[in-house]
Order: sequence, then structure tokens, then C-alpha cells
Amino acid sequence: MLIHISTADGVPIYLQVVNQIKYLVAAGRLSAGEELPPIRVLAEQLLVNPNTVARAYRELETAGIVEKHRTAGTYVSDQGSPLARRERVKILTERIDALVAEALQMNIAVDDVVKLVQQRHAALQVAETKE
Amino acid sequence: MREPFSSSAPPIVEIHRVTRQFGNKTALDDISLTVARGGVFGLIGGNGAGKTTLIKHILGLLKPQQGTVGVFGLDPVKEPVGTLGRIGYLSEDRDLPDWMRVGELMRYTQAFFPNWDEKYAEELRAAFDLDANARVKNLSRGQRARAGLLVALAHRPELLVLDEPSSGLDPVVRRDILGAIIRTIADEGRTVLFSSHLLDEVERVADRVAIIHQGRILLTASMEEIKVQHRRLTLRFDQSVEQPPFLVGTLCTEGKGAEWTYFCSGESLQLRNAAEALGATVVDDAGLTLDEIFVSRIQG
Amino acid sequence: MRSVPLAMTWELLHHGRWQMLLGLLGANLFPVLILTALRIDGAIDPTDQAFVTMQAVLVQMSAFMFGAGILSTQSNSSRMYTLPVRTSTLVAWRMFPAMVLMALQSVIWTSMINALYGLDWPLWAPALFSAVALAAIQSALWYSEKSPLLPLFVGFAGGTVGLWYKSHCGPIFANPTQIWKDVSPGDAATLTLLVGVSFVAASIGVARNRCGEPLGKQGLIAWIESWMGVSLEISARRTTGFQTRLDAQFWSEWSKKGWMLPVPVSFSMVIWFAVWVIFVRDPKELIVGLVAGGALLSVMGMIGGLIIGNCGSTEANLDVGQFLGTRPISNVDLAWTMLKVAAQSVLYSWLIWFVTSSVVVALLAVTGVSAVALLPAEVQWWYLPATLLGCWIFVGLLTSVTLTGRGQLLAQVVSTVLLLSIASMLFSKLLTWEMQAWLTSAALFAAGSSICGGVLWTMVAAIRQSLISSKVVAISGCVWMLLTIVVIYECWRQPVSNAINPIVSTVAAAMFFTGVASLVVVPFAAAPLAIKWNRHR
Repeated sequence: MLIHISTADGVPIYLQVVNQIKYLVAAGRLSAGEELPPIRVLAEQLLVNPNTVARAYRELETAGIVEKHRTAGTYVSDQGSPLARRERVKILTERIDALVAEALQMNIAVDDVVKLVQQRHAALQVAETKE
Repeated sequence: MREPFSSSAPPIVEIHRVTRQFGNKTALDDISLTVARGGVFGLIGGNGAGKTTLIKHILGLLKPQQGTVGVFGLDPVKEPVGTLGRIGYLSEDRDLPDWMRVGELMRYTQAFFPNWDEKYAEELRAAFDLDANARVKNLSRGQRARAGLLVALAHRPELLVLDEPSSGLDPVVRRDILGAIIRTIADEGRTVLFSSHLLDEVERVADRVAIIHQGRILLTASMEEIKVQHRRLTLRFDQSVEQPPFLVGTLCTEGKGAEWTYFCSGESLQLRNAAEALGATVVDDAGLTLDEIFVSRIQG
Repeated sequence: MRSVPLAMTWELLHHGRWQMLLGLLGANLFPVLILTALRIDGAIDPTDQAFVTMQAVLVQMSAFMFGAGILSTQSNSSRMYTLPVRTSTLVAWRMFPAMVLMALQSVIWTSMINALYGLDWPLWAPALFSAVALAAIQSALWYSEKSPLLPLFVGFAGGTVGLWYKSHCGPIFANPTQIWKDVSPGDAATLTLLVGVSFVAASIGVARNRCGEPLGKQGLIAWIESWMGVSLEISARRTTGFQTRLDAQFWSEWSKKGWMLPVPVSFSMVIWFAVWVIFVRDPKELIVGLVAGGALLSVMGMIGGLIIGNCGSTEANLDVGQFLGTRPISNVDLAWTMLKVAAQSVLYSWLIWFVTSSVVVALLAVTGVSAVALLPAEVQWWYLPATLLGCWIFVGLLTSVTLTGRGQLLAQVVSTVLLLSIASMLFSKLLTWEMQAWLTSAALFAAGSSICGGVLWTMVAAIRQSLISSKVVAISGCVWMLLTIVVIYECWRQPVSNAINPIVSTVAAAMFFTGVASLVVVPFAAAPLAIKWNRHR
């Protein structure tokens, strides 16, 4: 599982793990029902404190992204649940916030941004039908 | 001032108001510290701050001139066997008998520690790629550190004490050392205490951190608390200012003109409110790396 | 500093000012003391044969002392290797200022002696010789740096130069018959040649070291070294585990230091035999030499004790290192390990001496010579145990003192004691013979009783800190009492003959030897105390 931890930008490590796992799940690179590595193994792989990994897993569990099974393993939970969908919307909302802030700074109106989003979406669909 | 600890088990190391002077120089000034059982405790400070002196007190190599030191509830000076027998130690200068071979060193150390696990020691030796017939004095620096780590780990000590474990070592050996630290505390009830000035490593593995500067403890807190309590705020003012206005909790500032960055100690929300009270716009609000926290604390 | 030569000369003078001062003091003080003592006895007679020998000895002693001072400040040149300076410059400007200083020192010293005592000793010959000897030894040192063959090279250089000097004083292998006064042209040429050879050898050696190839990486030398290395390895290799901590620690200490006493003892015996076979061949000298060897054991024991008691991680540092200090072993056990190494060392050395001597005696008996008849009169049955105990006393005492890890303190104590004894010797020369006898008795008595007091205090301190078991205390007490009884018996049986008051001098002697006997058992209390003081600072 490809997670990259960096101590360079001040973001707490557990948060980096949480965010990256959320992203992997949202992008479909971690499918529902797939098992996450045990805490010890991931801690050794990333060279971070096992408590940090444990905290990350706890947060993910609270957010509904993963669930613990009785056989002591952690698995990606089913994506259809409203909890999971809410998490995905939250990720996108953060991206949109950044986009809007940047647009304002660059002096581009929000309406123009929305039009641009629709244009890009149409272009993507055309490219897909061509394949 | 005794530190409160969260677990109910008695702390492994208790240092109470220890003072130590070498001639005119005060190396430790009224230091109190508690290391709880389980977890990784990072002792950070610049060169000459007193980290090694503190560690020597824990090992019984120095007697406190004032105050008391307790390790596993015992006095390390009076009971060297009872304390040192449960401690694995790697010194800063990797002090090992130069003339011994690696295999002999392992057999020699085995006699001192009843918990020595021979199979585990052999696994470590193979993993560290150490030749049993090589003499310690002919080992490279990284190999020497690995050899020292081997004899410190092989008896599965309750307390692993590492003094600047990564100094002068290449990234591969550093990974070995960090891996060893993590594997140690993954076992229940075992504790690691290490001193370092490589703060990105401390940030990765430490649970609790103490900053020591010129013989005094500046700060002791869990890693979480420290990260939450320090933030970097970039404020934009309406006009250019020569000196940035004072913000409560600021450790240091940098910038020019109308935009200034404050390195602060305090919670994000409080700081933002205070900033807005000054009439500035908060342009950026980010966390600080342990490195930045340390530097601004020392300079502040 | 504008030039390299100036910089290097300044460094020698500045960095070495204390060592050279000490060397200067030593080189000048001893001759002055000896000659003053002689003058007071009215025995200064320049034509006396003994004076010829004395001049030769004093020249060498003063050169040795000052040379030691200089060499001790000239640490190895490796820190200068990366400076932009040629090897020949490096060598020249370490050698020549030192040579000049040495010659100067010799001239000053000889002039002073000549002025004070009305002698007429030559100025230039010893000066030039000392300078050249220094150059030869420096070159040998630098040539064989970092190689185990260093003592060989230095010995060769020193021996060659020494023999050449001796050849000017009469027959080479007998007592000197004349003082070397004039420097003939042939001598001047030889001196220049020696300097040239030393310079070239030193340059070759330093150039080689500078490229990272110390002696021993090529050819014959490498083969010899590897052969020596192999035999060392066989002795120390350990492939089995240890039963207890004490076993493990004893193995560690013995492998490092155990052979430091027996090997030089064997070596010296071999050399003595070689010298005797080549030069002397008189059975009486052989026996006298063997007997003296027994006494020499004690002297070597001093150095042995210094080495065995050094529990630091490097030779320079006497502090208990971080590795040894963090072994989970109690101070008592650690002390016992050191003492066991010391005892075993002493035993092996003494056995080497004893067995060799017995074999020699047996051989002599086979050839019809009775060794016993050749023994000096003073030597009696007590000599055998005395050599063993004497060696143990020195080794044990010095081990305990070195274990304290306070090198400076040690040096101060030793210097004070030396100065006091020299001062009292000088002082006593001013008194009449009668008062001297009383003073000697008083000094012996005081020394003996203070030693006994010191030992008792040490024992009590060790008991109070639980560093010694009552069993050991009891055994020590018994041993001490036994030795005291023997001492008192011998003193009563043979009172000191030519004393003013036999009873007083006998009592003083008895007290002194009782004190010395107590030193046999003091290491058992002193060593744990020393280790504790060293380990927990």
C-alpha cells in the first residue's frame, strides 16, 4: 500500500496516514473488503510509531472508512454506506475550497469557474467515447 | 514538580530535581523527568545541552549531586545489576571492546543478561550482515553501530536507551535503528528512551518529547500536544509595518512589509481570534515541524 | 607566522613547554642531587675510575630525560599530512629544532656541572651525540609508526648509537675507561652520516605513512606481522559460552592484559641469558643476575599494575568506559576479576623466573658448580616468598591505585612522595651519622605504622560500604597476622647489627615490614573501593 509520510510540512503524521488512506479508498485503489496491513507491519514499513498508526486506524474507523473484524484485522468498509459517501464528499469539498480560494486570488469569477468545470467534464467524456 | 503520567504502571525512570555541575559549569539544573512504561521517549536538545549527562545519571555512571534518580524503582548507583541487567544501551561513541570479534562479543554479553535470546541474536546478526569473525575495530562506523545495537537488543531489554543513535550514520543504518526502536515498543511493556538532534526522526517515532537546553528542561509533552500547541500564522496587515505587532504566544517572527509570519505557541483558534483582534487577515495557518518548534523555542 | 619552519619551531616550543620543562628539570636535577650527595661525603675526585662511568651514565640519563620530554610533545605527524607542505620539510623541521634544543640542553647542563663541582667534563662531544641520538630515535619512531615492530626499530636505533658512543670510551662491552672528549674529523663525519641516514629514513617513513601505508603492508614485514597476528589470534579466540558473569569478565580482562607481565619477564630473561652467554660467562654473575631478576619482578610489577588497573576504553583514559560501566556486574565482582587477573599474572611471571632459575641451578650442579655457594650473603630462605609477595604487593597496589581512574591525582601523589623522599635524603646528608640512624629508624617506624593505619582504614571503609565479605576480611586478617609473626621472628633472630641502638632499629624495621606485609591484603579492600569511586562519578 503506497503511503508516503513526510515530516516536512508540519502536518501530524496520523493525519497524513488518514488522508492518504481516504484518498486511496476514494480513488478506488483500495477496494471494499480489502484488508489493511496490521498496525505493527505498517508502522515498521513507514518507520513511525505504532501508536500513530493505531490512532489513524481509529480515526478511519470512526469515519466509517474501515471496520475491524472479530478476527482482528482491519478491512475497508463497503462504500455504499452514507458514512463513507459523506467522507468522500468531504474530501471533494476541501479541494473545491482550495480551488475557489485560488480563483478569487486570481480574480476569476466563480461563475467562470463553474463553466470551466462543465467544459472540462464534457471534454473528458468526449475523450472516453473516442477510446 | 512531579510529572503526571497516564498509565497506572509505575514509571520506568524517575528523575527528581537533579543538579549536576562540572567545575564551574552547570550541566543539569534542577531537572525533573518521568519516563512512563511503554512508548518512546525522545530527549532533544542541541550539542552540549545535557542529554548525555542525563542519560549517564540514568545508567548510574554519574551520581546526582542533588536530587534522586530512580530506574525500575531502584537506585542505579547502588544496584547496578538490578537496573543495568534490564537495560539495553548504545552509547554515543559506540564504545565496544575493539579487540573482540563480533561472535565473541555476543557470547561475552550473553553471560551478563539472563534474558538473552540466542536465536534472536543470530537473526539480528544475519539481518545486520555482521561477520562473526570480524574484529570490532575493523568494522566501519555503521557496522559498529549495528553491532552495538545487536548486543543491546538481543536480550529484549525492558528499557532501551540510545544516545544519539543516528549520528554519523548513513540512511540505511538509520533505518535499521528506527526499525529496531519500533519493533521494541511494539512488544508490550517495553520502553525506549533516546536522545537525538535529528528531529525528523524523533517526530516519526516518539510518543513523548522533552526539550532540554543548557541544562534545563524547556518543555515536556506528548508529541500530539506539542504539534497542536505550535502553529505558524501568516498575517497580512493593511499597511506595511516596521516591526510586527505583538501577538500573545509568539516565539519568533519573520517577514517584511505588510506580510509577517509568526511562529507561535498556542491553539489555532485562539491565535486566529487574537490575530483578527489586531486587525490583520490570516492568510495561512499551518502546523510546525518539530525542527521549527525546537529552533523557535530555543531562540525565543 | 610567515614561514613553515618558524611555525613548526614555535609549535614545538609552545605546545611542549611543560613537558620540556619537566624533562629539563629531570635531566638536570638528578645529576645535581647525586653529585651534591657525593660532595658532601667528600668523594668528588675527577680521576677516580668510578667517575668515568658516572659521566657516561649521567650523559645518557640526561639525554634520555630531556629526549623523553621532547618526544612526548611531538605527537604523530598525521594531523599535518593534509597541509600543503612537503614531507621533507615536515621531517626536517620536526627533527632539527629538537636536535638544536637537545644539544643546547646538554651544553648548559655540562657547563653547570663543571662550574658547580669543579669538574672538567667535555661540552661538545656529548652535546653532538645527544642531538644525533635524538634524530636516530625520532627517525626509527616515525619509520615504524603504527607497527608492532616499533620497539624493535627503536631498540635497534638506540642500541647502534649507544654502542658507537661506548666505543669511544674504551672497550665496548666492559666498563668505560675514558671519557670521550674530542670530536675527531672521523667522528664528525660519522655524526653527519648518521644524521643524513636518519633524515632520509624518516622522510621515507613519513612519506609512506602519509599515503596511508604504515609499515607492515608490504613483503617480509607483512609476512612477519601476519605470522604474529595468527599466533595472537589462536590464543584469544573463544568459541564457547561462559557460565557466569565473572567468567566472561575474567576472560575479557585476561585476554587484554594478562600477558603484559609474563611476556616481558620471559623476554628479559632470554636477553639476560644471551648477554651472559656472549659477554660474561661467569657462573657467579649468572647467579647474581638471577637473584637480581627476582627483585626486578617487583619493579616490572609496577608497570604491570598500571596496565592491569587501566579499565578505561582507551589507554589514555582511565575512566571506566561507557561499555564496561554499563555491564550489569557489581563493583565487588568487577574488582575481584581485576585482582584475579593480577594474581594470575604475578603467579605466572614468578613461576617463569623460579622454574628458569631452578633449571639453571640444576644445570650448574650437573657441571659441578654449587649455586648455593655463589649466592650473595644477604639472600636467605625468605628471598623466594619475598619475591613472590613483593611482586604481588606492587602489582596489587598499583592496580588498585590505577583503578581509581584519577590520573592527575595519581601523578600529584607520586611526585609529592618522590620530592619528599629526595628532600629528606638531602636533608639527612647534613646530619651526623648518629642522628641519621635515629632519623632512619623514626622514618621506618612512621612509614610502617602509617601504612598499617591506612590499610585498616581502607578495610573499614570497604566493610562499611559492603564491598567486601566478612569471609575475605577474616582470611586477610589471618594472612596478615601470619606474615607479621614471620617478620617479627626474623627480626628478633637477626637484629640489625651496626646500629646505635639495636632495639630501636629492630623495632623500627619490624614495624616497617609489618606495614609492608599488610599491603599484601589491602588490594582486596582497595580495589572495590577504587572501582566504585571510578564508576560512579
